[in-house]
Amino acid sequence: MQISNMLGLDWLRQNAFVAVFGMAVPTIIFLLFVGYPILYTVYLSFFSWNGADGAKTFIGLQNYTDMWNDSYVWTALKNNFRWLVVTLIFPVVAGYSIAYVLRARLVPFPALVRTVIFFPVTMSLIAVGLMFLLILNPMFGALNVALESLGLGFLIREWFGDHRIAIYTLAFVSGWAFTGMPMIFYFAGLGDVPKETLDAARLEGAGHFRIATRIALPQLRPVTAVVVMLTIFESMRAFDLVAVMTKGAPFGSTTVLGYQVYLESFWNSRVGYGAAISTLILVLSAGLAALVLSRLMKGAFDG
Amino acid sequence: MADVILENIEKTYGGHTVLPNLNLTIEDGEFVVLVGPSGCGKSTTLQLVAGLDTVTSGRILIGGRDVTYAPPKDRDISMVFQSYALFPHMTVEQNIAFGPKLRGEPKGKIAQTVREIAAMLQIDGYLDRLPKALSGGQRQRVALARSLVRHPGVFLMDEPLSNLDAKLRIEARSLLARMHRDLGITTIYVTHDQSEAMTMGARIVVMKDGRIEQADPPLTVYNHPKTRFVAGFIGSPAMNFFDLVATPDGLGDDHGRVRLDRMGTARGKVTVGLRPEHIRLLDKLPGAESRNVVSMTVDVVQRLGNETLLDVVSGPFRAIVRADALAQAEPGQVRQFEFDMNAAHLFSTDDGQRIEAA
Amino acid sequence: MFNISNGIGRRTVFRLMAASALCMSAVAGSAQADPVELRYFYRAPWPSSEVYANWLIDQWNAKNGDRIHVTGASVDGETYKTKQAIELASSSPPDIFYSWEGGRAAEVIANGFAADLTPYYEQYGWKDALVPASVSLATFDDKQYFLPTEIGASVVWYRTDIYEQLGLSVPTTWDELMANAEKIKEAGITPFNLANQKKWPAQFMWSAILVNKYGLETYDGLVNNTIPWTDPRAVDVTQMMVDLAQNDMFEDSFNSVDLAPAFVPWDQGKVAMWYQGSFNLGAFRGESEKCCTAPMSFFPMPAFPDHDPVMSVFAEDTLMIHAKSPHKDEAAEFLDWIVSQQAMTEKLAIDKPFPSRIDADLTSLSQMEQDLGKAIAGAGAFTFMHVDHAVSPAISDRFLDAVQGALAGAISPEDAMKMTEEAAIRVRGEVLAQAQN
Ligand SMILES: Nc1ncnc2c1ncn2[C@@H]1O[C@H](COP(=O)(O)OP(=O)(O)O)[C@@H](O)[C@H]1O
Ligand SMILES: [Mg+2]
Repeated sequence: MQISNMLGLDWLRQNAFVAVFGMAVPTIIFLLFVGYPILYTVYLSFFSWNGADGAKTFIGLQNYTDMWNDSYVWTALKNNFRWLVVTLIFPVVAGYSIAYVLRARLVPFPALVRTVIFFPVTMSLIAVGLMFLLILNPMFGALNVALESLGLGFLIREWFGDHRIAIYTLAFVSGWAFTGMPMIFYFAGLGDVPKETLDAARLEGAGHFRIATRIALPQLRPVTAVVVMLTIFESMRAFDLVAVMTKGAPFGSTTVLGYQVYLESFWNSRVGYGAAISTLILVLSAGLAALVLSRLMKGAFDG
Repeated sequence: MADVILENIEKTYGGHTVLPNLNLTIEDGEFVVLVGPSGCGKSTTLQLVAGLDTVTSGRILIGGRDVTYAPPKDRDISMVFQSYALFPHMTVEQNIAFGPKLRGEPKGKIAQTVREIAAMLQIDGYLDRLPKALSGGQRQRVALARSLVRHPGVFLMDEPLSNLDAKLRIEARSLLARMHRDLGITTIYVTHDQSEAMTMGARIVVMKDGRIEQADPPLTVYNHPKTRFVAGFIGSPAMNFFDLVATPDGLGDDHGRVRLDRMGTARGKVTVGLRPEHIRLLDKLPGAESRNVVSMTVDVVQRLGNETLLDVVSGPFRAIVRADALAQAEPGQVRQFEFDMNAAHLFSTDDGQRIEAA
Repeated sequence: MFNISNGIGRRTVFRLMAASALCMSAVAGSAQADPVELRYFYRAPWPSSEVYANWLIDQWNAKNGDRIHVTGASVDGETYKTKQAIELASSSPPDIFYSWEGGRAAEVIANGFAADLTPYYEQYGWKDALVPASVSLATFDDKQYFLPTEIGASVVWYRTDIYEQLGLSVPTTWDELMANAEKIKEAGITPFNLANQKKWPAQFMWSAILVNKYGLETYDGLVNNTIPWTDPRAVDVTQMMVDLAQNDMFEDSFNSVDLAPAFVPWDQGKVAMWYQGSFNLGAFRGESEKCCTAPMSFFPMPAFPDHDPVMSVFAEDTLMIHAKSPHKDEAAEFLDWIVSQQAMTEKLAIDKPFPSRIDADLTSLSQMEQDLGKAIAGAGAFTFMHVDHAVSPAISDRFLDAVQGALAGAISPEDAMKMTEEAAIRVRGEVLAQAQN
């Protein structure tokens, strides 16, 4: 066998079309549309630039040391993680539960329920934010009115005004809008779980809760991995809801990294600094994704 | 230990009737095989007995108790699925112990039962493995172990052997037979394979389109099929059928290709059924007085080693003939075949019901 | 829904008018040689702003389209800043663009995007035609850089019915104001609306108290980097705001209430006073023909002893000509149309008050609005902008966060001002630190 053949060169020569359009083009597109912006952002993060004139000043790691000393970045970072924790729990649990309930046909009109739950995913977060501003409004918001009429008035909080809970309010709203996503993934995934395994558990006397958690969920690890990844990206790039609902208020306690990027780049004209925060988001997302890949995905696609 | 009674069971799926009206009584300790072509409603019947699905109407009694609407766990049954339905994320031991743990049995007792059953089924060497690390036969035995561990009153098996290769299947058949002999648990066994049904069942229930065609011991079903469908379904190669007209002179077709002795008093359109072994390839031309001899063209010759199967045709008639291993026959030859009318079955061509010749 | 928008009907009528005007201009202009193309980049925070901008452009094009043709592009208030940064730096920037006043205008000027409008102020006599306070806002280093087209003022709005019912009179001193507030509170009515969810509203009262208590020089010193934010006077004003909050002078959950929903209790008579900008008049007017839905009037923030009261006048809408525009003269001509008496009078009919022109005809407005218009015109050149207009956002954002935090009781007034000062030091470097030493 010739060397060129061993290297697959013959194959490439015979399949030039596939090689060009199947491999080269996607690679170029990826580099152009994904790689370049990322590299440019990282490049910018080493400069001081107001975004308006042409003068970029190279300042080395200054932006990064500034970031280290910026209490807003720290607040934002903590908030991104709070956001992540909330969205890892609430929409994922809710999405999975709804998917299970739909698959097990425990509710009437499953197709309708599915559509309704998925609908917010298709809504712009701007609209979602405006809607929840009304619902959570302290004067006549539907939530407080509902709590009041259920005799749960003691649960009423300043959903946006109280700096201890405002970020969780935002994260919950985000979770509300996001629930359809894990639901649709799990719904599809549950369709692929062999029905017999669920039946077998039922025969042994397992109830829905146990079947959902002990039999179906462990078989859905690939789906869970994807859902967790999506949730990580979703919460790391959180921005819209903050911009619409609080603008970081009260006193910066609801800011997130994405919002800091926006503030610094566009309001404070510190484009280089904004790029440095973007880079932080990038590194965090990539790091967390790698963690998920190595832990959750391990063996997820075996047999 | 329990008997199973199905009374006027009807099952429809959104307007599509799968079981119109099913009645079946299974004795305590009996091994019954539900057999029939794919889609005839065997699995549905089993699902109804298991409680994984509910009847549209009718009653199900297990051990004298009405369990029509009882949840599966309260029916004293266990089930083996075609796909085994092992929990892929649990070890063999966890799979077997899943039910007992759920029912809150004491740990020590669970461990002991699991060990005993695993030993009996010779899977005690793999208790720590995940199902994906087992062979098909081992998985099948794990599935058996998991359903045995609860000592059910009724054992339900839905095509438990069809995912095994031929050799393992033979082994598993005798394992199941032994198990039934030793434990005596009432068993409802579903298969679409008639030879499996023949070898395993104390009684065979042949189903077609949601109806029971015949429920009898294997040899009765084989020798006295109640309908043309049963006759054709049971036995391999399948029985040969000839649509003929019965007159006082005998049985024959319009073109004189077939002339047979008359059977009983039936008149008009009838179907004669003859198993392949009851049609004999004649070596030499028969004498003028010979009866029930039909001339047919050999189409295909299948030499199986221990015997030879001949596909023969004559006009609209087609038959398979079982001949000796060394039978002299070549495709294209026109040969004479003798029909053993003592072994022939007679059915009404119109409704397929058996006509007793006596 | 919250009375923010004007009536749909009115809007639709103007859309139709605008459309027909466009058709006419297309017919009229078809025979001519190439006109000068001007790009006009405006901000449209309210639906009515859009209608008015279209009217301006269509009228102009109908008359002058064969010579100077104007194309408009708008964004709402929120996204303007983002878009502006991109557009201004582009190779084909708009000829005329909206700019904020104060610190943000200074930033645009410093980046070299704004053309010096002083010659046009001379040529068209804008200095005399426009409200003096607005001209002073447009002046940076003795040169004018923008043309104010809409101005506003912050005053104390009050419910006349509540004042009447409780037998209160309009206060002229801070102490009288506080005495009124106490009585209102005793009557079970909220003394002041704050609606501070988006954190900018509280600064209105903060800066008004500071200017009136410690003088305009003190405030100018703060925003012009000669007095640190940690100055005891700034801390004192923050403390006063905190005291008001703790004394239940503001509505419940004021840090959770956004501006728009706050009009509901206002219209219901559950709140008696509100220190806010006149840009809210559209919302106060609501669906009514004339201002306002609720019986209300205004008075300026009352004076403290030893100080003359100063009204905060601000340039709500301002236009700049891009320094790189090849058609500055034509752009100036279009600007002169915008501040013409006809256009300014029409603005009152379509959009909201107040026009920047002294001699604009205010008679279509309610008496209260006319009074306020006159008060603004007569306020003289001495005025102040609220903090987020006066200084760059990097500082004002921290300031707003800090004040909101102090009002919530999460940080002390001292820490709030320290936080602001830290941001200021980062932005303006060591200048002030040296001045202090
Ligand atoms: N859940 C269901 N919904 C609709 N039709 C079904 C369902 N389950 C089975 N059927 C139909 O019922 C008939 C019998 O199916 P089944 O009992 O699985 O047949 P088999 O004898 O092969 O086990 C088939 O026509 C099948 O399509
Ligand atoms: Mg089946």
